[in-house]
Amino acid sequence: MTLFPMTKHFLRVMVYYKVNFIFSFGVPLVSIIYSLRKYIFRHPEQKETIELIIFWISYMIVLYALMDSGSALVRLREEQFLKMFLFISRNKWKVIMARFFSHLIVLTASAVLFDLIASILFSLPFGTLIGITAVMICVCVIPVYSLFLLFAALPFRQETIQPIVNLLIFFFLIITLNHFSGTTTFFNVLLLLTNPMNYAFDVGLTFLSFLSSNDAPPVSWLLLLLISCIYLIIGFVSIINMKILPIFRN
Amino acid sequence: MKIRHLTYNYPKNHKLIFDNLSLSIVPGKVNVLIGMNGEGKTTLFDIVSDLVKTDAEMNDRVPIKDILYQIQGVPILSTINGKSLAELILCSSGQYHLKDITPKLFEPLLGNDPDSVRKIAYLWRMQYGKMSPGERRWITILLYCLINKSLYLFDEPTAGVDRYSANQILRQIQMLNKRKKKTIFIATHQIEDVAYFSHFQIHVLAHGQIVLCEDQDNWIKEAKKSKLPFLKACINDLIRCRTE
Repeated sequence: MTLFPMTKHFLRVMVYYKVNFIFSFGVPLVSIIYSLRKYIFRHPEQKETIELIIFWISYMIVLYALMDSGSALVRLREEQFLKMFLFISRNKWKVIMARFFSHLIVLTASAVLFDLIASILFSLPFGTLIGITAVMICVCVIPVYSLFLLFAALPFRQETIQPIVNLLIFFFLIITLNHFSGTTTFFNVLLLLTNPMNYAFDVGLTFLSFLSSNDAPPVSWLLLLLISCIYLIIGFVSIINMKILPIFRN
Repeated sequence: MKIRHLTYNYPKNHKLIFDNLSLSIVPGKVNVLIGMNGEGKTTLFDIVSDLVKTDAEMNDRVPIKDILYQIQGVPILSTINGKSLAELILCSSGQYHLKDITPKLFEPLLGNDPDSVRKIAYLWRMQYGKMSPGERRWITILLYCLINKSLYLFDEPTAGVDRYSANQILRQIQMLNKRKKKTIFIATHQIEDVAYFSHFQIHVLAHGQIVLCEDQDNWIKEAKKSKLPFLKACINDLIRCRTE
């Protein structure tokens, strides 16, 4: 119950800064409409189109996490919101949980809306898209959010974190577009580890291959589980080491 | 709560903020910390609230869950109204439910002050961004006073607020102490604030130490003996304030 008002507050903040939706929801939507413009209200090749949608859902998972995880906590810390609510709500975990729930709600709403629009425009099975999205969100959202909590544990100010966050999404996009998964090589594992977008994309593709039982999964579930655990450990350690007082004063 | 042998400097700064400082917060009383800007009042609050770890000897420490710390100038989303602010602060404390959040909640605090009752009704629907800084501070402190804790830290609660609103804020703090017997630790450099309280313990912070610690009956007498220009100016201001 104590999380509800704070989650509601963070949702209000996210809705207030509408410009973020241009990058997190607008870019995937415009991109998919532009790249598949010839197939609007027709039947494009289903598997390829679903893979493209999985790619943009993984982009959404990573971009929302980049914006709402560590970098958002750094902002809350520098504005002293974290310090204020540490004493009101009695521990920092509640603030982090509330921030996470608001993130989850906005991400889920955006992804469902994206699936709905894509299924209408390209005559895709909405149930399949929602199923894949649900699995991707269930599996990836906590680990990816945890990974970016790392920013909150670093002694960097918001002015330093923000450009890094802006650059990272382009970096992730580029290396995911040059998709190297398919074999469990050392390079692939390294790419999965360093690129959460590739990780989320592979989770989606693995579930897609499970649905269309003919295809072999791009990576093993065990590897994905291992990566999830590493991301979760990074998040846990980051929360423990997270600073409450603003860096600029201390 | 007692602090002994507190010596501290910021990690990236060699300037000594506290030099073997000792402080005793008198329980159940209004403790006023006065000091010039930059003397380390907020840092001392951070140490008292255990946000900053030091090697100082600390006795009868109040656990963090029993402390409420009012911080200066935290930006809150400008579009939320007074009611949403009340929901955010009170429900996040875990001591209130959404259904409790009505202007009636403030009646025991505001008592028979019709002006304050009208003010809360007016601010209830007003957006936070449209409130004046004084109104924001007043409603926030009012909300803080509704949360049940043992130790309340108020960091310059009247800074930038007109005298009338400042007195309204101080009245809430005074009631928190008088009615609920809570320990208050309030930092200020506005000496007129002290005149509002009938019983208090004053702690003067200067040059990294508590140079004066006296109750309401003795502090002026002791302060007059001090050679600190800041303290002399404070005394003159207070005497002028009382004669006016």
